[in-house]
Amino acid sequence: MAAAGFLRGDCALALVALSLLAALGSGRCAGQMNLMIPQNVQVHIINTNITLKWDWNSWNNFSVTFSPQYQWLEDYEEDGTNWTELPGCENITVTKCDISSAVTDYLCNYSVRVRAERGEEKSPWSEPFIFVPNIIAEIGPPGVQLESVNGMVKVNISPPEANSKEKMWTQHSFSYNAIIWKKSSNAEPKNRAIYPRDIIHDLEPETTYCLKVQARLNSEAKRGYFSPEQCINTTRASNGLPCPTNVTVHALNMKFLLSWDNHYNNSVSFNVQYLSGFYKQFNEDYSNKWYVVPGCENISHTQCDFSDIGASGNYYIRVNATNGYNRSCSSKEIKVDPCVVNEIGPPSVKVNSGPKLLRIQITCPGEENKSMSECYELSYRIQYWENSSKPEVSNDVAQKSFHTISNLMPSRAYCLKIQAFAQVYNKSGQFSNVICTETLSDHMSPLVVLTTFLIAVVVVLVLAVVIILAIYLSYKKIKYVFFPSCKPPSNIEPFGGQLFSNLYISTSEEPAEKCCIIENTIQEDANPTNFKNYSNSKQSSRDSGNYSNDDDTSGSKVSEETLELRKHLKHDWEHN
Amino acid sequence: MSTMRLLHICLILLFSTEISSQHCDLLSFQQKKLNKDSLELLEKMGGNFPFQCFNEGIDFKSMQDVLKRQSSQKENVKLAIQNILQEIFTVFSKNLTQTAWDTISIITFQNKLHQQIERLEACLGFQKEKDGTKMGSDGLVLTKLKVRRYFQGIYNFLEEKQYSLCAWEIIRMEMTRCFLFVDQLTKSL
Repeated sequence: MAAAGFLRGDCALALVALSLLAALGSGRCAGQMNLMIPQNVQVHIINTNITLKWDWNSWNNFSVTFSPQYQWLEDYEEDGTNWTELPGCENITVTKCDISSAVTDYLCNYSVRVRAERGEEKSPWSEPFIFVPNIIAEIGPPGVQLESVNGMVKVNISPPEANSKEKMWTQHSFSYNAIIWKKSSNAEPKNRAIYPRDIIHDLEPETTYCLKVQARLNSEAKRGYFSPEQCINTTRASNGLPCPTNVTVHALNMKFLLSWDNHYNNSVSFNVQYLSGFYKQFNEDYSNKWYVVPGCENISHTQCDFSDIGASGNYYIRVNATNGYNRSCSSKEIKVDPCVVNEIGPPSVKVNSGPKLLRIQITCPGEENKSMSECYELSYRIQYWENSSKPEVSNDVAQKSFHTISNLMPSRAYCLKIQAFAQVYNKSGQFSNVICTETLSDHMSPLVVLTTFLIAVVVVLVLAVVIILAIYLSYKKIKYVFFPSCKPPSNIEPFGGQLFSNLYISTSEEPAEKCCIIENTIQEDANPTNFKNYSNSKQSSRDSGNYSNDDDTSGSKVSEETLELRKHLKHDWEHN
Repeated sequence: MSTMRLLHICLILLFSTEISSQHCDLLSFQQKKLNKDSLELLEKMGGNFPFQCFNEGIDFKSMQDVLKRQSSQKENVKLAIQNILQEIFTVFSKNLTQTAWDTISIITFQNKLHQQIERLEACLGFQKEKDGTKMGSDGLVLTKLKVRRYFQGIYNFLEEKQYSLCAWEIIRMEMTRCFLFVDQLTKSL
């Protein structure tokens, strides 16, 4: 790596000593290797301009030329490519050379060395200087353009290597720092951060101001060269509508309000605009990226709720006034970092007391607002003290919305107040109102416990009895209804004991009384055909009213019976 | 009066511990949030990877390969993340006209990214001034160079493909991987 060159310091010292000895010897033995080694070989880089330099004491060595060489150490290893001559630097007589054309990969390790030559005489090679261009490069001065407008100064900055094709630095990674001072005055120059396109307010009219600008890479703590000083006269503010002034942001629980002064005589309307913060990093014109804040267009009052923009990064806000066709200049641009600007309101607190403890329920301030959680992970700082003549304030921190303070004295009055805080933004919210409450008494507690226990036991017993009773009764009922134990009396039994056993179960065949009507007129001749006719004219009826299960078998049975009866009657009649 | 004084002392004690750790120690919360939001926004801005871009050749090394021997030193991690975010910001500031991505998502993405870059810069700048460390320690140098090298591949790729739709889609996918990698780094923050 870059440090490797320095590690060889010891070696370099030895070489220097050797070369000195050689130089001393050269006085006596002319024609030998008596050229000194070039010293202090170094590479200076500003943006992509790479210059190799070395020291040479010319008092003793006339008509000396130098031929530097370089080596490309791929992948940060010691053994690189072969040593090569640097194009445009062969046999030069000066002690520096532009090597930008040879060194093209700014992220690689390079090694350079130099030796002096005079005719056939050649000095030994200098100790090589090893470097990574990007690491040792310095930032050049930026380009600055000034314009005097309406009592203010507009600044346009072009990045340090705007015009070169090769780039050493990542685009859009610079931040800029300006030093401004009033010309011909003893006032202290002011340092301020400045954007590539910026407007400097707060300047005196008709005064000459000078400034110079430097580019910086903050993450690497690299600071560039300042641009040349430039001076400009400020003008008097125009006679038209003045810019809105005193623009301020108030934010509580992510509700953002912008307010400004109304110093206009006539009726004017205001427009509030916002710009996403990242555009400020750009050198290009972004004036068309300002958008009107919804609900704050052509308003007559001097307040605007801009909560709707949300909390996705920083933004800038500005106001201008219009009066018919005249438009005022814009106010100062206010940078809004939502999570930083916002103030955290008091949380709402509920306290329940127990013996020796307080149970606290905290509700996050501005809970209805989603962007609160976009910004913060809130914790709560609780201050509590005994409400006595000599209160001692204790502190506690709650991470969640339920918290218990224990180890308190029983039956004492305690007071507390709570604030929310966001550790990430080092932000503390407002304190809630002081709430005082008394802890429960401790003395009664064994009795209370005993009573509670007894009551519980009684309740459990009563419940158990009720349940057992309920089960027993329902068992009895079910048994009585479905499985009755009583038997029907013996005289009813022939009619069908079955009838009682399955009273609720439907039967396929419902028993019914069988009746028949016997006709009074009986014909004498027992003609088989007549019998047949008779049996055909028989009628049967059932008192159940159910006529559906009339069937042939029962009909034939009946006719057989009637036939027998008829025979019997006939026999009686003949006998008489 | 004595209560007030005691309260005062308590508050001072509480705040003084926070002042000392102001710039840096609590960056991880913000970084985690940014990682999550960025992944969502990258997804949202262009939707699914278009079918016609599956055949597009990719010729750059992946982030994991580039930074695999990354030392886990906290300082190093912060610088790596800052460098990566800065480069991603620059990537998305390039010519996006051939994509039909959702502009609001791009703006939100860029804005959140830029905010975190500023925070990281403030933290790193603050630490540099405090510790007096310059870009000299080998780990830091190597990290920086490797990140630069990787993104140079990305810029070259986009330029070669003339900022075409498919080139951008591939880069969007690659940046998603990049954020997953940053998320891994964030865990050791």
